Amino acid sequence: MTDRPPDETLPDHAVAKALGEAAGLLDEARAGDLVLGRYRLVREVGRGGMGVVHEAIDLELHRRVAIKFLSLPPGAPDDARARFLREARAAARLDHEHLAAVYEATPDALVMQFIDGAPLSTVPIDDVRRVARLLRDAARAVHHAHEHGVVHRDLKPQNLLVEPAGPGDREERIVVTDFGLAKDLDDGASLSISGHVLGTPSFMAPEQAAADSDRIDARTDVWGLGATLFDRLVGRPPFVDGDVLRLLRRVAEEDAPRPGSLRRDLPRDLDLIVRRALESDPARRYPSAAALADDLDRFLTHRPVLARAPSVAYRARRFVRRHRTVVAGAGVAALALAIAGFVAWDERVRSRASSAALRLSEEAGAVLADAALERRLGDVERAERRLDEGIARCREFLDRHDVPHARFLLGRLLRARGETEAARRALGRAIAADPTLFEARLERGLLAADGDPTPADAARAVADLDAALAAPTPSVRRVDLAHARAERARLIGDLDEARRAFEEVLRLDPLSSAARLGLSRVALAEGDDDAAWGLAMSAVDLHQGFGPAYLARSSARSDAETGGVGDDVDRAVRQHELAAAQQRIVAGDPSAAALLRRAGARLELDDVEGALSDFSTAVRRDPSNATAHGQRGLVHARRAADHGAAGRLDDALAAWGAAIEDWESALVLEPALAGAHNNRGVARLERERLLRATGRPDEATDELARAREAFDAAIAAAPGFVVALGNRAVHRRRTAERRAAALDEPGARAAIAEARADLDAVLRARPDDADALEENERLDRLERALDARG
Amino acid sequence: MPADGVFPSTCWSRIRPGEGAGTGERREAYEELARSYDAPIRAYLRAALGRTSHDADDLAQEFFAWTLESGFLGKADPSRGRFRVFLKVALRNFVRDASRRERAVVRGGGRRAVPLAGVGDPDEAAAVPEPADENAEPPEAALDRAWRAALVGRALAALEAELVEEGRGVVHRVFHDYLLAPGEGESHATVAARHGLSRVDVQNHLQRARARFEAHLRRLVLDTVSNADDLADELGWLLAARARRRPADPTGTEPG
Repeated sequence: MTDRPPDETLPDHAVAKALGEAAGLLDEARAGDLVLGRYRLVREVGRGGMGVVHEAIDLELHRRVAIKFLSLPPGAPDDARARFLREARAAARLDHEHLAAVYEATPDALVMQFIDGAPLSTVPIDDVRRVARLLRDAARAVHHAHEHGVVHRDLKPQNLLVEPAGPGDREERIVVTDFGLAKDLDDGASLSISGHVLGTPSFMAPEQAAADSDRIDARTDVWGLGATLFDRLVGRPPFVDGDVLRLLRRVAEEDAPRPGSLRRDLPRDLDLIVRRALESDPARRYPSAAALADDLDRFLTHRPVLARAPSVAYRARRFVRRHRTVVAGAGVAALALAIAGFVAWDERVRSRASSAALRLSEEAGAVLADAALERRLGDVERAERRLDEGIARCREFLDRHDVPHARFLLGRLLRARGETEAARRALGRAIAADPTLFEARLERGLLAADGDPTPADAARAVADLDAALAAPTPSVRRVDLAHARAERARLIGDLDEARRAFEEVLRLDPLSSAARLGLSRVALAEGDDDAAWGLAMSAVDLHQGFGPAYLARSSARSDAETGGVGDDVDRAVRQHELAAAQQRIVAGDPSAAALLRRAGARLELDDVEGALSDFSTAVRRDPSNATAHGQRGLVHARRAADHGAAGRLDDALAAWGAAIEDWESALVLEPALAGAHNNRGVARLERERLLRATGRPDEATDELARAREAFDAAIAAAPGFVVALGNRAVHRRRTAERRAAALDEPGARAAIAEARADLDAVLRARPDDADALEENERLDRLERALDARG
Repeated sequence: MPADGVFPSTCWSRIRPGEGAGTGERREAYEELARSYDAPIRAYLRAALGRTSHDADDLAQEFFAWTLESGFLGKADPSRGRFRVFLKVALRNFVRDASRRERAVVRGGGRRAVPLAGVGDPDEAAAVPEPADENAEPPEAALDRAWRAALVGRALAALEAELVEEGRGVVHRVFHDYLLAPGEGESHATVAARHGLSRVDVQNHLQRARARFEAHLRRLVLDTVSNADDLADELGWLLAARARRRPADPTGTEPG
């Protein structure tokens, strides 16, 4: 070894420069040297939610391969890696000219045939016959996989590669890649905490968006092919929404739009084919990918296709089913008829599973009682653990028997755990499967009444509560019915009745924190601030942890005008959270999670330095926690903004730099965190402004370029990411301004055009987005200035 | 995970936990490794305790002894993390331990307690005053910065030794001078002038040096990890501090 200590200590800038010279190691920074003894990495060719793909050379067989290194999102199930391996091995048995061959699979990596082509998303949408031909071939390949028991589950234009026509008479060829890399969507495991998007659900089938893993089968891939076809005929996926959770909900609940409505010149047969493939109900889709391929072939050979538009009667039934929460108050009986067939089928399953379900029901009851007790005792951690156990039990049960009642129990436990979105989904599915499940409607009504419901949500909540009150089943406890009455009265503004009903709840359950909160809200609505405060605090005392904080905080928020009390309650609750987190840390739970929680509370109390210190400790204790890095980045950003506002530009620059480092650290850990990509772009834009203001135009120019990279990466990681699109538009506008200042008129106009394209995308998703509209006006002004100059 | 196959003999992976018979080897491997990074260790101690560098030298000695005597090293499990991270944990514990001992000694003596802010347990840290040191870099940041410098310095030293032996010392000197020069565009020209070379020569030398430097850097990092994931993480951490190349056009026209 030639090592010896260096003669001198290098200055920081030389170290940084030297590391820049070694940037070739970056590939390995993601991949490691885990190349199975025979593959030499060439370059990174792409990354996604599940990992990074490298081009590599197989040194034994001297051929190019693509290696995908698996990196699981946090919260992925324990057996995810084993499942990945199992599926990859199944995929390795496939052999089809339109499938990328899988050569080798390990728990960490997948070695595949290297396809020298561009993703289907780069194929222009104008040649519909070409698109149809490519999709037909892809569907045949997918069918081949299905025949071998392999379901892709993540078909989208990015996973279909098109090899250009080659020398001789080799034709253009489509190749389906990434088999065996199926996403696991159980309960949003691929969405990491704090709303970061790891992938895009735009191409997901409704049964995937609803996390209904039991219903995922070959027809899920039919949907994926249909959605891909839709995208390449219309120019966008069937569902687009900047908010991932809302997008998931829309995919699960709404019908896909008709492609023909978005593209007038689309041949009617193609429109029908897409609609059949995109039926929400898998049973109404093409039964197989081969059937879809056949219909596409009929279109290509000018024969009549088999796809038919859904009948009016069917659409009416579907409408009723979709809107039953609203119609419910009017006639529950009619609804029960509409989906009677479904219930009857369900009954059979239910009788098989009934004794097990009964046990589950008792268990869930015990879990809820235990959790309530622990909350009262102030051991939030233990309460949450107990609920998590119950939730796990329910999910396990649901894996075996999809019984609506079990789903209701799951929803109930999730609600108690504070997982409102998941609870809403579970309850919604329970009710969809069995509209006579009145306890589920009651639960959903109470859930929607919590917090700060919009008028529409409040109306839905009232409908749910009405339904539950109109048909009480023996399984609904009296105290719950009283609660339903109380919340209903409160929602419709009958405060006297609400108080009476809440008081009845208190008589039946003297320790009810929900009743105290309800009474607190009633008092707040009546202007009795002192009583509201006292009741809210006693509720919190009885029920510590997330739930009451949420309730009390929203009750405070619903009365924002009275300011003082609302803020106080809010603050007190956060103070309480802070104290609870503090207690936990003192009591020996120095987990990163506990620290993150305290940091969040401190931040809300404007204790920025305290929060920073907690985030830093969390990062130290769990250096692989991308969330900790990401959130600390946000604190740095906040400090940066404060510095900037106070005119301390150098401090602001440094703080933005620290924020960027944190987001980059988060991205090293989770390369597809679209939010972190976007944030680092924003930070760079801010730095650009500050650098220019402090007379460093070269560095500013540099930052501007890097901001572009960041936004591109954000949008690549989450196509349709509205915030990033908007930011990129701002970036393009600033670029245009720079170019205009440098008298580069064509360059400026080109940047303006790019900015407009991004803004158009934003406005398609959010037609009233004020920022986007304003940005458009800025572009108008800039253009006018250019015109005037010309 | 290719635990043993790929990383059979890195320094760090030789420090296995709880091996009775292997104690001698473990200790040797640890000393070899820890001494390579004594500059970062001292940087940490300076930042944590606000001492002069002389004190830090003494403390570093104490720290080495402490890891062995306190049994802390026995707990080290290379399969579960990187050496740098292990050292941070060890240092944090050492500093806590040391400050507790010191507080016990000085109690009643009228001296100010050892400043420990920013280290380890937040509650404990909150109880002691901020360090008097003007340069308030957090200890872990100080360690990281010095660690990067140590890695780069060692890789450069190895590169130099190798190139001198081949009689091509100029390649190293060009690379070295280039790294020390500020900026990118001007440094090519400056270095070329200083060594009486053409710019093309300089570029060729840099190209050659770059690949070997990269290899040395990788080898050194490899010594502090024991599996591929950790290697990837450590490289990612290391390169997070890299300088990005400037756009090729020095006039600063807008890229992208």
